[in-house]
Amino acid sequence: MHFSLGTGIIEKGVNEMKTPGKPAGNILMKLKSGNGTLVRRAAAAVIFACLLCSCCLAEPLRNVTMILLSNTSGLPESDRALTRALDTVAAMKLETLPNLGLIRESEAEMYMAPGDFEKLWNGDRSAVAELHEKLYANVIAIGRHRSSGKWKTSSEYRVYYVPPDEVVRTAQVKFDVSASGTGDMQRKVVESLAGRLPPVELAAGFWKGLGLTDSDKAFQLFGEGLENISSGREDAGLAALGRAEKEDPGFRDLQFYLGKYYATAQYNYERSLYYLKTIIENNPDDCSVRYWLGFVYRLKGEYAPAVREFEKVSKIKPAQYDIHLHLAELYSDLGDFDKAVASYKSALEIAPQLVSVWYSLACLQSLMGDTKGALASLRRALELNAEIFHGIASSDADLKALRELSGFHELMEEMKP
Amino acid sequence: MSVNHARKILLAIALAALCFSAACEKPSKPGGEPVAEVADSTFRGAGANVATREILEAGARSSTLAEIRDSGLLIAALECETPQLCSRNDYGVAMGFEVDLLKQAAQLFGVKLNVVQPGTRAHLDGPASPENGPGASTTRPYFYSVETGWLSFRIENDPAFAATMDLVIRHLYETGTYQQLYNNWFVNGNMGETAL
Repeated sequence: MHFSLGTGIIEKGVNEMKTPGKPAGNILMKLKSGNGTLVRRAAAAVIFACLLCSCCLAEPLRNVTMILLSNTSGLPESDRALTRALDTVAAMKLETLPNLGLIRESEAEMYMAPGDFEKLWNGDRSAVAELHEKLYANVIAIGRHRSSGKWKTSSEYRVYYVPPDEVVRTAQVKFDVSASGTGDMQRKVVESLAGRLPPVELAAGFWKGLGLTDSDKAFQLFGEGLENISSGREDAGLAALGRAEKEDPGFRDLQFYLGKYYATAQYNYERSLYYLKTIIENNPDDCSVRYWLGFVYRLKGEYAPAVREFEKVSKIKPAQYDIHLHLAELYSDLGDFDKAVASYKSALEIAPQLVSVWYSLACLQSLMGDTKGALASLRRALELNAEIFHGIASSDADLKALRELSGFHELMEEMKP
Repeated sequence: MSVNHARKILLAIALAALCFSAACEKPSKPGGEPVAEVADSTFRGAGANVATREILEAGARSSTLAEIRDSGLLIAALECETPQLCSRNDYGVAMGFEVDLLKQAAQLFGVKLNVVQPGTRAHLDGPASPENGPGASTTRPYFYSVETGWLSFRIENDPAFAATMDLVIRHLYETGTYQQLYNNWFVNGNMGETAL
C-alpha cells in the first residue's frame, strides 16, 4: 500500500515510464521523430529524474497506522453526538483492514493538550508533526459531521499524510451522504471516507460480518453516550449507552466500545471480557475484537489465553506489527525465548524503525547467549536512537554477557551520543 | 512535429520535472528543518498507556521514579532462590510471581525491568519482612503465606516512591491482575509448564 494522494500522478508517471509499450514509450517515439534535440534532452533528463525519484519515493507501505479523531467544537449537541458516533463506527470498521493499524482516540488524546484539536483542524503542521512523532501515525484524520435531514449527513475531514521519507501532505475531504436508513448511512459514510483516503482500500466483501445497527434510537443514544463520556460526564454517558444497548442488544460497535472502555477507563477486566466475548460468540472471525481479547487477557495476567488470541489475529492481520510485539513479550513472560525472538523479528520486518524493539531483541539475544546477534541488534538500536538507548545499554543487566566482549565496548564508544 | 507542438511537449515535461523533483524532497518541518527519523524512545508494554498517567501523577514527587523514567529501567534486587516467588531459568533469567508483579509495575511506569543480585544498587529490593515502628513506611508488603509470612519490598529514602508502589500493587489487586498472577504461579503450577 503506498501513498498516492499528491504523488498519485507521479507514481503513475513513474510506472508508465518504466513499462515498455506504455504511453511513455510512445511519447519517446514521437519525441525522436520531432524536430527538437532540446526536447529529446529534456525528456532524457526527466526520465533520469523519474528513475532517481523511483528510488526516493517510499516503497509501498506494508502497514499504515492511522488516527481518526473527531472535532465537535462549535457543533450543536445533536451534531456532536452524530460526529462521535459516525467517527467511532468508521474507526471500528477501518481497523479491520489487514494493513491498517488504528490508534485509539483516547490514546491519542493522552498526548494532546487542550487546544490541539483546533490546531489540527486548522492545519497546524507542528501539531501534526508532534502527534506523528509520538504515535508513529502515517495518516491523521480529523472529522466532523452535520445532519442535513433524516439519514442525510454533510461530512468534512482534514487529513494529514506523513508517510516515510515524504513531506507532510494535507487534504480536505468533503462529502454528502443520503441514505435509506441508519445502517445505510453509516455504511455510506465509511465508504465515502475510505474512497477519499488513498492508503485505504475497501476490497469486495469488506462488509461481510461487520454488523451495523439499523436502530435510529440506538445510534442516537450511542452518539450521546460517546459525547458525554468524551466531555467527562461518564455517568450520563454510560446511562445513554445502557439505553442504546436495550434498544439494540446486538449492536456490535456499542459492545466493542464498552469492552474497550471498561478495560482502559475503569480497569474492570471482567466486564470488558463479557462484552468482547459476546461479540465473538456472534462472530468468531471478528479480528479487532480478538485483538482486544488478547490485550485484556494480557492486562489481567492471563498469558496463555492472550497468546491464543494474538496468534489467531496474527494469521488474519500479519502486517500489524504490534500483534507480534504483544506475542514477543508474552512468549518472553512464559519463558519461550525462541518464539519471542521470532516474534520480535516479525515485528521488525514490518516496522524496522522501532528502536525499542531492536533493543528488546538485543537484550533477549544477549540473555540467550547469542552475542553476535545481540551486538548486531544493539548496533541497529543505537543507530536509530543512541541518545536514549546508549544510557540504558550501559547499565542494563540483560546485556551483562555483552559487557564481557570488546566488541560491545567498541560499539558503545563508536555510538556515544 | 510543429514548433508549437514541441513547445507544448517541452512545457509538459518541465511541469512533470517540477512534480518529480517535489517528490524527491526530503521531509521537512514547517520551518524547513529536516524531520528526524521516526524512532520510539519508550518501552511500550501492554499496560504502558492504560494506567501510567494515574501512577505518574501519584509519583510526581518521587526522585526515584523520575530516575526510573529517565533511565528507562526499574531495577529490583531480588534473592531469586525461592521457586514460584523468584528463581532463575536455564538462561539465568529471573522468573516467578515477584518478577511478574514487578514487570506489571515496570509496564505501568513505561520502563523495562532489570532483576539484579542482592547487594547491587537498585530502586527496591526484596523480599524483606515488614518493619515495625520508624522506617516502616519504606517497606511495602506484596505477599503473604503461612510459610513465608508477610513479604515486602524495601524502598530506601523515598517515601513518595514507596507510596507509588503501594498504589501500583493496590491497582493490580483491585483489577484482579494480582490474583491472576498468583494463580499462574501458585495455583495453576509453574508458568513454564502452562500449556498454550
